[in-house]
Amino acid sequence: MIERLALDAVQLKRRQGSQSGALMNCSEDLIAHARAGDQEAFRLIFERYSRPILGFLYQMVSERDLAEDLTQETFVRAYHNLKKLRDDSKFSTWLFGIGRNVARESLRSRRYDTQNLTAATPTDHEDRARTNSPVDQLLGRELNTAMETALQTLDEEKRVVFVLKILQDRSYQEIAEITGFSVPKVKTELHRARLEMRQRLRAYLEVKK
Amino acid sequence: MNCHDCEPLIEAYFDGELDESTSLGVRRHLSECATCSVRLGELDTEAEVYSSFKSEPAVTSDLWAGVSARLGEGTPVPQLQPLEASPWLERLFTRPRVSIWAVAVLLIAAIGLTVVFMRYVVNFNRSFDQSAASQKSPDITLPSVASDRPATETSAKPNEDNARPASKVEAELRVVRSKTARPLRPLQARSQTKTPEQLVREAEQKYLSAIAMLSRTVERKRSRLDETTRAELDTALASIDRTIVNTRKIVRQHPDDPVAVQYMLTAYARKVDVLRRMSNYQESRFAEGLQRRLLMRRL
Repeated sequence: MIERLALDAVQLKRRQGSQSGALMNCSEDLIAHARAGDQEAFRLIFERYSRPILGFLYQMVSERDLAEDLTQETFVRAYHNLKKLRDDSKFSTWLFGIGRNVARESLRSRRYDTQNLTAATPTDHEDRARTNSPVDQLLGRELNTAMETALQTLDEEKRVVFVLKILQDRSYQEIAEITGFSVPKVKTELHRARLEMRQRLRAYLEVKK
Repeated sequence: MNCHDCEPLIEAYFDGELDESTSLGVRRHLSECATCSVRLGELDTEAEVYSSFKSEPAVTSDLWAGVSARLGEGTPVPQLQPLEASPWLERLFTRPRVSIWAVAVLLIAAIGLTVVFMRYVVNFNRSFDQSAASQKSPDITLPSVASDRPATETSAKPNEDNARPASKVEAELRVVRSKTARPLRPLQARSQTKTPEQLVREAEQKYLSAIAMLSRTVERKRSRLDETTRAELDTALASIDRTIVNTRKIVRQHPDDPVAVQYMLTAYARKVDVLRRMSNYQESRFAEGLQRRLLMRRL
């Protein structure tokens, strides 16, 4: 991580010949430059955070194209609201918070459009789980499909907590800051999400045992 | 620690979210309890399955191109919403708008303001009543003061036999006042708009108007009076006029002195009374003469 930051700083310094004195050796420096309108500094930030943000959004919406659009929207909003960031050391949490809001707005806007599809999806998955053998289902592609389907059955609050904890490995406190929930609510939602996911993926989990 | 205590902590323990001492307690219980260990094993299995979920698509160069293009455009971007932002209706019905403490403070402040306001209103009404009571004297006390006339100043009274009953006199005075003065508004309304000095001047003006009217009547009938009566009348009026001049001077110097005001208005009232009685005396004398002439003709 430290090497990456140093490399980013050197690259930025090389590209910006005029800023010879500014050695940006930490993300706070990058944020400060981006806040001042430096798009190159923001590009470095994008390089660092685009992968986890894209992954998080993809896990939330399960559509690649949509996830890419939402990632772009997340970074554009972040750029325009950088001045509102109070603590630069919490940039990652703040960025994920924006991503969560963007995802939620998207999910709400297409809730009614995809209501029938969403309702049908678990049934399709359950049918496949019954007809295919567990061994076949454990194949990577099939598991991914099953996971995506199971994730989509969770409501938005359970899904965001589950994704942030299980797939993004965030702490309860970070999840609370990203979502605005209290830590007890995070625990409750995570526990319920685990129960639902366990039920949806029971066949795979039993084989794994 | 038993299973009942351990079960709700297993997930947090597995996630590494427990503090040192609690984590140690759970670990000890797990080493002794097969049931809870199975639960922990299930979580471990789930995590292994979830970790095989490949769900992070590769970032393409187009992604930054799209962001960069939008940064340059300066397109209006919706303001960043609070993390827990939700539709306003949802917030309206699911969350209190202000804390209980804020409501309590507001209520106490409102009660305090009401008490202060009510005290102010009560004090204001009390002082208003006092000032109104002190301003009643020109209208209410004058008749009684006027009737309290000393014997020396009634020398102009021509004849006690010709004096009219008191009720008739008061009725005539009311007629004179109604002709010379505007109808009186209620005391409350007047006091709200006029100062005590204005009220005194108003009463003085009324008396002056009445005196002017009565003086004209007396002047017209003056020729019918005999010499003695005419001299007594002039003497009495001159005396009253001096009193009026002197008391008016004192009132102008001390407009807040209620005794001076009362003396001045009493002098005015006496002059009105003398003029009125003089006027009645002339009429009664004329009627008496007329009756006498008629009687003589009959005889």
